[in-house]
This record gives sequence, C-alpha cells and structure tokens, in this order.
Amino acid sequence: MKKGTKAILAGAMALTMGASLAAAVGCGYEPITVGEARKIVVGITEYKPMDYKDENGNWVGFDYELSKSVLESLGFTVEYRVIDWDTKTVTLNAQEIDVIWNGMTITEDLQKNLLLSDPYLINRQYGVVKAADREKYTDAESLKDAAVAVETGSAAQGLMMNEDESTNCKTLNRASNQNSAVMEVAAGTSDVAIVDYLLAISLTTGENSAYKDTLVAVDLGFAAEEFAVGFRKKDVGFCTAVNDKIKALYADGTVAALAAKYGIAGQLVQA
Amino acid sequence: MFWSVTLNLLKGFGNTALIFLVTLVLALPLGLVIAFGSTSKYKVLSYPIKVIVWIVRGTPLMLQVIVIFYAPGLLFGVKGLSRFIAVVVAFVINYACYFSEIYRSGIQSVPRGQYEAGQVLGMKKRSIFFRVILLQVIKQITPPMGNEIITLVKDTSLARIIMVQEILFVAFSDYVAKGIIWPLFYTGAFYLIFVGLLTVLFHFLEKKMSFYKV
Repeated sequence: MKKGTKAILAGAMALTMGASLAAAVGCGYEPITVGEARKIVVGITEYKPMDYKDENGNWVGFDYELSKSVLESLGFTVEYRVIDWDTKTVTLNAQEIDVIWNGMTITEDLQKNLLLSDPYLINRQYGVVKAADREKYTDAESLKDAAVAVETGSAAQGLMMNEDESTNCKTLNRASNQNSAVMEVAAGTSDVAIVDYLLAISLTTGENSAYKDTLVAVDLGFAAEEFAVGFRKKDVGFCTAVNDKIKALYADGTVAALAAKYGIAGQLVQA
Repeated sequence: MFWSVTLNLLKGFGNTALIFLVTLVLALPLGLVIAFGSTSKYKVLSYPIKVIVWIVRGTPLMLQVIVIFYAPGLLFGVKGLSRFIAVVVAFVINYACYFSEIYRSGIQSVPRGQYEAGQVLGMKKRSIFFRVILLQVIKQITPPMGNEIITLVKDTSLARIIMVQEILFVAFSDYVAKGIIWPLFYTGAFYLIFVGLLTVLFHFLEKKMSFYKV
C-alpha cells in the first residue's frame, strides 16, 4: 500500500514538473496568427515615460499608447501584465505574456533568445550620481574605482561586465531593477547607477521624485542603443505585422506626436 | 557548462550556508535571552520586549533587510553596514524573536510540579532550571525548532534583495537573466539536499531524546 502511494506521488510529481518544463521551452507551440480574435498579453514594468500610472491610477505612457494602437489595429484585444524584468525571457516563453514591450534595449543575449522587432526608438545609458560627485564621474574611465549599480541583465550590465565576467569598475552591484540601482546611489551603498537615459532624467528632475535635489544625471559617453519589442522565436508572422504597423504609424506622424507628448522626441529613429 | 555552473552555484551556496550558520549560532542564545525577557515578571522589561517581538514578527523579513541596509544612508546620510553584515543582523534579530516564542512555549509546557519537586529536594532556583527544566524544554522544542531552522535555510534567499551573492542571486543574475533556465532547477537541488540532511539530523535527535517511550 505504502509503495503504491509512493509510486502515485512520484508519478504526479514527474507529471507536474514535466508540464511546467514543457511550457517553459514551448514544445508544440502554436504561433500567433494575425487576424485571429485573441487576447495579447503585453509584459511591462512601471517605467516612466514608457509605461506608468497617471494620478488616477490608469496606465499611460509612450509604449502603452503605441502598443495599444498597434495591437488593436491588428485586431487583438490587449491586456497588460507587470512582470519581473529579470525573468522576462522565461515569462515570455512560458506564455504568461505574448510580447515584451517596455523600452527594451537590444542586447546580444536578447537577440539570441528572442525574436526582436525593428528598432523603434533610440536609447542611451546615463549615469546617476550624487550632486557632489558630478565632476568626479565624467566618462567610462572614471568608473574604475567606483561601486557601480546596474540592473541585472540590462544593457548597462553589458557595458560594465566583459565576456570573461571581469568588470570595468571596482565593484558591480546587480540590482533587480533600475530603480533599485538608483536607490543604491541615494543610500550611498553604490557610487554610480547606470540606467536608461529616460529614467535617469525622470528620476533626477521629476517633480515628485525624492531624488530631484540630491542626485544628478551625467552623460558618461556611452554609445546609443536601440529599443525593440520582444516576441517568441516562433511568432515570425506576428513580428512582421507589428513592424509594418509601426512603420505606418511613423509615416503618418502618429509616433512623432506621441513622442512629443511624452517628451522623448529626441529619441525617434528617423528624427 | 555543467561544471562551471556547479562551481559558480557552489560559491553562491557558500554564502547561503554562511548566512545560515552565523544566524543560527547567534540567534539561538539571543532567542533564549528574549524568552526570559518576555516572560519576566518585571513589566518594564517584558512589555518593551513583547513590542519588539510583535514588530519583528509582524513585518516581512525582506522589509527588515531593506531597512537595515538602506535606511542609514537614505534617512541619515551616514555609511551603514556592509551587505553581508546587514543581512546577518536582520536575520539574527528576526530569528531570535521566533526562537524566543518557541523557547517560551517549551518553558511554559513544563508542569509546575517539576519546579515544586526541585524545591522539595532543596535545590536552588538556578539549578532547578538548568538540571530539571532545561532538559525537558530541549526535548519539547526540538520538533518546532527543526521546522524553524528548515525555514531559515530557505529564507537566506531573501538576501538577494540587497545583492548578497547567495545561491539564488547567482542563479538569477548569472543565468536566468541571460535566458538560461536550468540552473534554477539545479539550485533547488542544493536546497533539497541541505534540508534533507537537516531533516535526518533532527529525526536522529528526536529519536535520541525519546527516552520515556517504551
């Protein structure tokens, strides 16, 4: 009897583990077809000015509006889900979300693991430092003796960490998100945070930001990067449709108007 | 690949084990002190301690870790504790409070008659506690302690919130963030084996102490 129960238990465990694994790697995954009436779940994080909540608690933002108009014009209903940015690839492949559309900077890792859209915005990595350190950190070279905070797996980590895992700074603190990296600087537990330009500006100058008097954004001379939408590898048709739609919205000036509304007109691809 | 992951995870597990051991060694005696404090007949002593226990047990350990590490810099602009020390301080305080409640339940479960028997034999208060009561308390609290200590093994993963490089932090930031998922399951195996060993150890201890059973 006892043996029987054990066998059943083991079987049940193997089944659940197998099922979750299968979901994770996407065996037998049916790609999304454009035109079918289905819900698309968009993975986002709260990230001003791409996706954030206005004073009434409604989601707004450049990416929010752009993704909504693109996906709805393709005939989908859209739902937004806040995800853990560390595990975005896993979350996408586990089909908890269908696209990642949240100011995502293209990196080699992402190119390997995801299908990416054409770049739709240009981004730059900026430093956030204490106001008193403004003169101290001016370029990548000056970070050599600094404790630098970045978001795990972000483009900034790619700038600070080499292939052989050596770092271009004294210590590299890999935070779970960009806001935590900036908080490290405010708390004095790191010297410099390297984050997206948009976030650096909004956190150091934003009216409601707790850091607006203490922290400043500095240009460390890092090269520009590009934002893209992330899809599952098999969703080629879906990706092409989104690319075409964004191109059309660029052509008729919708994207430019949207960028102006959110104060990022300087980041348009064709500008 | 498998070897390099194993080595890297083992390095992380070293930190996990270190948080676990240091917390255990410091929180076990501190818990006993707190238990004495909270059961003291002097209200000036017992009330503040009860409030502290309430606060520590009433807020998430993750929040306590964040506050202990970041609050000095954010609120007062002073240099706080190092990452590892901050985690250990938070864990020791938190676990000492939980342990204190287990000790208290153990002490209070010993019947009055045991104290009276000691008094009849002319023993001093101190020697009644150490020679008569404590041994029964230890036997009584071993199962709930085992439970709490196993929870401690897994709670060490909370250290990742302030970037202490324990095993789950390593698995997440070195692999999962790059789209390599299997080390996450592998990490689970490390915890399972560690907890398995502790389970065997506590089973053995309980058996050793079941001397009244026929």
